[in-house]
Amino acid sequence: MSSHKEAPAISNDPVADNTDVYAFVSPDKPDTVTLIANFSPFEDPAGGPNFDEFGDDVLYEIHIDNNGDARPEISYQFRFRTVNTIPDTFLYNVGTIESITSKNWNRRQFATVTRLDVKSGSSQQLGQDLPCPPCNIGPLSTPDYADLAEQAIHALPGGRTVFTGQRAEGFYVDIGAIFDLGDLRPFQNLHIGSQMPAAPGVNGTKAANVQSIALRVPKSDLTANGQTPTDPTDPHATIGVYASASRQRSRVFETDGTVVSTGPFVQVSRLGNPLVNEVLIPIPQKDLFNAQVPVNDQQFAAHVAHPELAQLLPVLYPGVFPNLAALNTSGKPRADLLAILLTGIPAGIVPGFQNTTGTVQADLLRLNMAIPPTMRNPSNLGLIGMDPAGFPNGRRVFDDVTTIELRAIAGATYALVDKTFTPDKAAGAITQGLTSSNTDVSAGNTVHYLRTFPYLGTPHSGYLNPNDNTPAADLNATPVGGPGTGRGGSRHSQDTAMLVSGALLTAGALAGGAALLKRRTATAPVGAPVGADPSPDDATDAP
Amino acid sequence: MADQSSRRSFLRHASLGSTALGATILLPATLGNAASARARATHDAAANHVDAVRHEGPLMAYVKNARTGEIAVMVGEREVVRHDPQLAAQLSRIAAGATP
Repeated sequence: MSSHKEAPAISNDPVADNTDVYAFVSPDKPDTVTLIANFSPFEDPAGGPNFDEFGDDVLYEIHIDNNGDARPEISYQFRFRTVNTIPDTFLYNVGTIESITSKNWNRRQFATVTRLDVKSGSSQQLGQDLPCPPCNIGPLSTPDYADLAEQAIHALPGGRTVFTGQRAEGFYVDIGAIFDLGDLRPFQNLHIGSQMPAAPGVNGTKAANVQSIALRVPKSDLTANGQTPTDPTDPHATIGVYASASRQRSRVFETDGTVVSTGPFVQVSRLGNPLVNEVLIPIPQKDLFNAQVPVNDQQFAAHVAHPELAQLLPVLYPGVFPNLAALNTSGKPRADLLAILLTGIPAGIVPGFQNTTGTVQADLLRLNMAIPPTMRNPSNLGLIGMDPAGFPNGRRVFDDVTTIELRAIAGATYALVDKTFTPDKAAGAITQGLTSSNTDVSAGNTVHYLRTFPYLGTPHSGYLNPNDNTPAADLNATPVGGPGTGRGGSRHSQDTAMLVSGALLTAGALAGGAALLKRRTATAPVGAPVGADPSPDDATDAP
Repeated sequence: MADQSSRRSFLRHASLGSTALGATILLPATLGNAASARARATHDAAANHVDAVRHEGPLMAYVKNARTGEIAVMVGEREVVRHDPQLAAQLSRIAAGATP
């Protein structure tokens, strides 16, 4: 999750395993968009002596489709070069790494960034041999980590900014429960196979790090017409984003320990929307999915139109999803999911909002760049929390994409395309139990985002792990919350309902669902975060 | 604090020695490149062409289907696909341990 070890082949190749992709209008620089592609799932901060890094033999790319053909017009490419400056030591560093040019730092990595105009084939090298920061090892090796990371933020030509290096995992998920036969701890007492009482969710990735590529570019760098879009209805305003990792076709392992790679690069991992390959694609097709380009995604559309998980929910939670069960039985395709994940949401569905890229079905993260960042009360539920600056309009680092997609799959968004459908009362109340409310942008104080680029938090120190999520000492305000946002985040029940049905019908259903779950989880321990209804006073202002 | 400084100093001195060792190890490879360059200058046009390919690094021939003769030749970041049943058969004989 959201694309961590999501397919058999890539699970054995972590440096190329794309875990998350984010695309959002930079809240502190709203004339730009920040694109983030993360790799190296479940990275253990204490994983020395060979700490995690990017692969020198991997081609990392972030692709932009800006004309709706589901093919990239722009690709930002990232290549890495690793050097050992002190060959005769087994150590990553031989003293305190006081700067990114420290002579005590042995194994270093450098990034080269290129912008490729795909159609013309022309490319522009934006930066060469840009130092990456070291990994956050511990108080003796990297005592002032935030300062080291700051030194690895590089200005590029054309108002662009890049960072490539270790960050704290920003994605939060109760992965331990959800892959235990679809258990959702806040109401696991309703699960058909569970004898366990309801319980708080557990953030399974709270102490993990990732290798992060973050690129901030002017909006005009991304649009087909080179303009900065300001009108959300402007067809040029929406871009489709995906990231990929590719390896050369041939690899030969020599007996001296070296590896020789030859041939053109072949895509081995890709990611647009979170959880698509992870949750919707059957195991035998997952490796194929990773090798395909989005323009070919029509071949996978049936798995989106008829998701297996939607079939399972009424079975796993008997009596909780009767309307979803009926929808499943009808055999109607899930046009809501097809729109959200494969084409974008057209105008006329959600008042004042669209992020469609046309009719070509492709797993792309679609961002309408003309929608400003939400600067106050952002909702971690994004669009279904009436916050149009969040997922599935792009994706911010704090968006609770698992909850959003679970609710959608459970039928909460089907009323968008079929006004006769009434979502189950529980569909709008599904939660992982990892947030205290929909304006909680710290996953219950377990994720520590930054206010500014590169937005994902200071990586966890190896010395402090495992099982200690204490943030690095250099985080001067913990948690600082998400990259601001805000006029959007809404009171979850009421506004989610407004989005889903455009009418108070669903509002009642969602409120009823929350109440139902609360009643049925009355045995939960005190403080168990059942549902996601914030109290009227718990709104969070942007930092 | 003094202890910490002396430990780091020790580690730093050790690393300086290692750097010198690394340079020594690299030397033969440098000489090899120079020799290769001299040799290239004396080759005929065809040999020069072969050397140019060699300069790009190793070459991988992938007989994807011996029956159709489909061979993918990979070098650097390029791939050339050819259908050459005769060559594919020859390579298959080599793979089988037979005289080509």
